[in-house]
Formats: sequence, structure tokens, C-alpha cells
Amino acid sequence: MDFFEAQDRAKRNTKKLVFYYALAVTGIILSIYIVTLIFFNSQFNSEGGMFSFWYPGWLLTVAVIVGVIIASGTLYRVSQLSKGGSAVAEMLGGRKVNPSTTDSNEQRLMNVVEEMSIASGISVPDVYVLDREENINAFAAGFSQNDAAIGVTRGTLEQLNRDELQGVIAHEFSHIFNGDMRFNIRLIGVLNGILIIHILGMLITRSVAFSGAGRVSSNRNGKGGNGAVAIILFGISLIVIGYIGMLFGRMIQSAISRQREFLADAAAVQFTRNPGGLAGALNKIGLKSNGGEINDGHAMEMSHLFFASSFQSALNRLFATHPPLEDRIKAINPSLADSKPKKRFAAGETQKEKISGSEKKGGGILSDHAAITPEVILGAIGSVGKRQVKAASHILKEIPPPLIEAAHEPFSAEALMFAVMFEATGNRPSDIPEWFLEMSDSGTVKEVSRLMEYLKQGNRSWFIPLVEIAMPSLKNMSEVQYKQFREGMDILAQKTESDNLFLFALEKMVIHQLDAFFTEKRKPKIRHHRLKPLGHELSVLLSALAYASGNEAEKAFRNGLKPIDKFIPESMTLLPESKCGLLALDRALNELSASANPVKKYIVSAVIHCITADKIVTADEAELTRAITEVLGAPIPIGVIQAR
Amino acid sequence: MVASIIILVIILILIGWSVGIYNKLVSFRNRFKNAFSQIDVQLKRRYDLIPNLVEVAKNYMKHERETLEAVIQARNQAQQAEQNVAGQPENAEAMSNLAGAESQLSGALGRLFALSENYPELKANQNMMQLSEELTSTENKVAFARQAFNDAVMNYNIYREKFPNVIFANAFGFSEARQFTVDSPDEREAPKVSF
Repeated sequence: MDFFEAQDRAKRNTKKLVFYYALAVTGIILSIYIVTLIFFNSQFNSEGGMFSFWYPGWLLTVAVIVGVIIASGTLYRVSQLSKGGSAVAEMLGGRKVNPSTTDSNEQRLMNVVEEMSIASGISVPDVYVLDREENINAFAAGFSQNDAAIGVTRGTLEQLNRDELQGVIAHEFSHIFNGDMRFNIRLIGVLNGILIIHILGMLITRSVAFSGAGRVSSNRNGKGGNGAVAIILFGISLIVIGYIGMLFGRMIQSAISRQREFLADAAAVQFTRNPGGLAGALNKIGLKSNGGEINDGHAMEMSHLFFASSFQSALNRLFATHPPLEDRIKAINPSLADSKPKKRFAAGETQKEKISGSEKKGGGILSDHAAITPEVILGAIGSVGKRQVKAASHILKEIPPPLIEAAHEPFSAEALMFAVMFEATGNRPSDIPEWFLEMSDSGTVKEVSRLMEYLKQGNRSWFIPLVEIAMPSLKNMSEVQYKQFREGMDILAQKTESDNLFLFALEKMVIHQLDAFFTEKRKPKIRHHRLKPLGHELSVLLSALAYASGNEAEKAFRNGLKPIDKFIPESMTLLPESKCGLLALDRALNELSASANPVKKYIVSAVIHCITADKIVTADEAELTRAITEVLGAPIPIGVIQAR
Repeated sequence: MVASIIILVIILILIGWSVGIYNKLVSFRNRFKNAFSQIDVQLKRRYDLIPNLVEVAKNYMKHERETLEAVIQARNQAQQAEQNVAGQPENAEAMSNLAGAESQLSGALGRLFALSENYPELKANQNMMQLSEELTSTENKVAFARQAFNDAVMNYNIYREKFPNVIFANAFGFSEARQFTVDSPDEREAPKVSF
């Protein structure tokens, strides 16, 4: 199963969820309808006729009211959480880790997260620490990899060693790539909607019991008292109905969640090739009497978000959102457990099995000797291997510390972005352009030139990782500051020479994510479900790539069409260079990014076929592909497309 | 019956609405708290740099003891104020104390740098050059982070003061936050050192 299929599977699961949700709501409506008939039957059977269960008008009323209440509960929570992973993390009481932190535990955490991000080719997510939680647990939240947040408890920070921490973080990253996060947020919404009935029942019972209790006795005996009692009983029924609804909700939550935890564990082992780390973390959780328990009030409804069970229930088997720890350890590392290993989830040596196994994701992790074929690259999207993690950690060590420090701090991160762009203009010796000197203050200019000195020592393989590391710091700018930053980037884009695809790619990477963040348009609207209407955009994209790939533009273009020619009947031709300039390419990319997953898969496949047509991948091609896949939301791990 | 259900629904909507305002307030407050942590790191770095700088300057500026001591004293006060603010940037009083202490410190540093013009050997000292360079770059970072913080505080305050949010804000204990403004003119421009 590849990246796109995993994302789609998450969507199918959502459909399943909607079905269960509808079922639960219907059940609740019917129960409340019957309860109201029982408690308030006098109003319905006033004519003294037979007790009947059929009052269509009343049923409709109940259905509408209950439906509206549940829906508003769900929508409220979903809208609250749709602000992205940070909203979830803050709701759980998380504190954002400052990338330039001086705390050594936090530094280690940032290093591990940065390594994993660079390895998998996504921007570094916001990292949160739950200061109040002493047990070991972690979570990932957000709608897409662009607004993801990763949170760990203080216990995780203090009690795990680096390998174990890496295992946990890899587990969370695989949730990001599996599209689990979006699904998880919807699940929280659904649970909240059902929970509201329960809360409503409590409110009714309490308010009547307190305000009504005094009055009941003094009432002109009879009706009023009965009414109050009936209302209390009605409230209690709501509590019970809501509770039963919650039980069903939990069952849905746990059924879907448990299976995904196994998948994420398997992926984490595949990412790090170190079953010991993850197993060690699970083991440490198991050794604690209260496991991974989270004390925050939201722990229960968000239980499926966490690395390990965040609450303990008496009916553990039925409602556990996570498989038992022993089973997970056994699945990861059979040698650590006494009983027979479960082959299905066995890791490490059964790499091949995983690829063929229907439940496994990330088929094509590059082994050391794999030939670079389009299929291999496609399979590697949204996945990481040990080799990538190593390469990432190597790059992080190679980049001079002042540059990394700069990326960790908003002011210098901003300067760093300009420094990187100016270095990428390709002029030697590179210089700060006149327009920039005019628009910025002396401090910024000084910082930019200082950073450029360091960048000159290195090569362009540093640039993309630096952009990825700088992303959380850049998000710390205020709206006003971002506007200024964006102005600079716009001027830069205008001045970019049309053949400098690398600079274009870098700019696109920065702007694409930050725009999404600052305009708060987190969820890209999907407008295209078919490839056919995208013919023009595809020709622009493939033509631009074809020219970048060298002399045989026509051949590269044709090769790019191979995987998609079934879907595009009109004969597409290589556009002249003037028609696929940066402006056209930019527009085409924006349009293409609004397509559904299956369509994206073909686009990415075409892109990869195009650049590999001549078996030589130039640096320009590699970087441009990185930027394109970034915009399309399909991260390619580092080093998979190797420039030679 | 129907009437009571309608009332119930209205009550529910009101509760939901106020919870919404509450959550929004919390998220605005979180935003400027995060922004302050950015300032905080740089302020701390600055407080660490200043004693070193004074130590180097001491060797050359033998007759400027008072100025040097004033810098150290202002630095200690500012550090104290910063520690008071760190956990609770929403505390307006602590924030204004910090702003005051920072203004003092900037003034004292400004005088030190002005006097250092008279000591060409100090200006030529490698350590001094490096330290003041670092100090300037830290000041720039502080200024940038402070702008982000002030913008975040402004957004919070504007949201807080809107009607009816202000009623909820007062009821929930969301007091007006204070911007971090340093009024010393020297501070606006980071201390200019022309070595």
C-alpha cells in the first residue's frame, strides 16, 4: 500500500465512521422518543384512549431537536480542532517548545523530530510538551503534514533514552503519513456530539433537582410535583441514553484505533529499523503502574490520539483504544517476548512480508542497492528508512551550528530564508540585491550577509533542510511581520530569472506552507477528481520539468505522459519554453494541488517518470520535484531522488 | 413542554456560545504567551552576555567604575523582572516592571557604549568586538520577537474588549494584557557600536 492509498483508506474509514454515527444518532433519537412518551404520556393520551407509540409529529420534533443538538456538538468540536494540530495540543495543556530552547531534554526532542522531518521530507512540525503529565505518552494531531503538531508528555522527555524517543516519534510520524490525524479529529467531534446528550441529561437533572426540590413540597400537591419528578426521571434517562451512546462511540473509537496503532508501530520500526527503541518505550510504559495515563480532562475523548492508552477502563478489552502493550511489544520484537511471535506484524527481518502484506504501508523503502526506478520513488513517498534517517542526521551535523541556530529563531530564520534565496540565485559571487537593501533595516541586512558567509561554505543540499527546520520559527512571526516577509518574497519571485527553477522551488516551498498557516486556510479544497480537465496544467508542469532535465526535452515529456496517457485522450504536446515559464508553472501547480488523492498519485507518477526518463537526475530536477511534491502534499524522503 | 424544550435549546446555545468565547480567549492568550517565550530566550542570552562585556571593559575603562556598576545593577534588576514575568506574561504589572527595567538597562548600556568611544584600545579589543557584535544581534532578535509579541497582545486585547466578549472575559478572569514597550530612544535602535 502506498502513501496515496493509505490516505484514501483513512477517508474510507471516515465513511464507516459516518455510518456508525448515523446509527448511533438514530438509536438515541428513538430512545429519547420512547422515553418522552413514557414520562409525559398524559399529554399525549389525554383523551383517555389506548396508549399508543405512534405520534409522527412528536417523533419528528424529537428527531429535529436531538439531531440539532448532537450535530452542533460535533460541529463545534470539529471547528474548534480544525485550526490544526496546535489547537489540539493546546487543548490538552501543551506548551510549544521553543526551537532555540536551552533545556537539554527539549533540545534532544527537537533534534529527533528535526531528523525525522528531514528524513521524510516534510517541514518540522510544531512540538509541544505536556508539562503536567508525568507518564510516558505522546500524540500527533493536525489536518495535514503542513499543520501537524507532535506532543509528548514530560515523562516521555525525562524517562526515555534517545532510541526509545526516536521510536515514539517515528510512530507519531507514521500517523501523520497515514492520514490518521484528520480522521482522529472527526472521531473526537463525533464522540463530543454524543457526549452532549449525556451532559444535557446531567444539566436537566441538576437544575430541576436544585431549583425544583424546594418547590415540589410547597406545590399545590399533585401535578407540579409529578411534573418535576417526571423531568428528573427524563433527565436521568438522558444521562443513561447518552452514556450508552458513549459506550457505542467508544467501541467505534477503539475498534478503528487499535488496528491503526499496530500499523503505526510497524511503520515506526520500518522508519528506524530499530525495534529495540520502540519496544523499550512500550516496556517502560508497561512497567509503570498507571501506564500512559493522562490526567487532563480531555484525555478520554482524545484517547485514540495517543501513543499508548491514556486512560484505563474497567472494560479494558472492549473499550481499549490501544492493543495491550505486551501484544504490541511482541508484534514489534518477537525476541523480547516469551510466547510465539506474531508473524503478521513481525518487523525487521520480514521486510518483504510487510510489503506484500495487505495491511502494511510504505512498500518501497529504499534498500541500499535498489535501482532508482519511478516505482521505487513512488513507493517511498510518506515513508522513511534507516538510510534516510542517517542521511538526515549527517546533514544536520554537517550544517554549521550558526545556521541551525539561525533557523531556530524567528528574526534570523527570516534572514536565513532570504540568505538561502540569494545564494540560490546562482550569481557568483552572490550578493544582496539592491531592492532588499532598500526595504529592510540595517540589522536584517547584516544578519543576511552574516548567514550568507556560512552558506557559501556549503552546497545546496543544505538549503531544503534549512527551510524545513526554519518553518516552526517562521510561524512565530506576527501577521504584520509575515506581510513584510511576504512582500520581500514577492519581489524576489518577480526578479527570479525564468530558468532558475531551484530558486522557484525553494520559494514555492516556503510560501506554500506559510500562506496556508497565516491565512488560516488549512484544508485545501478539492476541486479535481479527474485528470482530464487538468490537461493544460499537466502539459505546463511536464514541459517545465522536461526542459530542466536537459537536452532531450521531448523524450522526457513523452516519458512523463506514459503513466497518464490512458486518462488524457487529447494529444498533449511539449509546450514551447515561453509557455511554461515560472508564472505559468506557479499557476499550474496551484491548480494541480487541488486534486483528489488518486489524481495526485498520477500527477506525481508523471513527474517522476519525466525526470527519470534520461536516467540522469539533475540537481534542478531533484529540488523542483521536492517542491512540487511538497505543494501536492506527497513528501518524498531525502536522498531518494539523488542528484548525480 | 415544547416551550421548555425551546428554552433548553436556547440555554444550550448560550452555553455553547460562551464556551466558544472562552476558548477563543484562551487561544489568543496562548498565542502571546508563546510569543513571549521567544523574547524570553533572547533576554536571558543578553543577561548572560552583559557581565562578560563589563568584565572586558573594566580592564580599559578604569575611571568609569560608576557607569560599569550602573550597567551591572540595571542588568540584575532586569533579570529579576524577567524572572517575575516568565511564567505569566499576561500579568500587566509584572510586564510594565520588565519594560521599565529594560529601559533602564538600555540606557545604561547606551552610556557605556558612548563612553567607550574615548577608549580606542577597548574598541580594538577582539573580545569586545565579538561581544558587542553578539549583543547587537541579540538586541535585533529581541526587537523582532517583541514586535510579534506586541501584535499578539494587541489581537488579544482587541478581542477581549469587544462586546459581549468583555463581560465573559471579566467573569473568567481574562484581564487586559500589556504590551512590552521599551521607551528609551537608544533601545529602539539597537545600541550603535562603530568599532
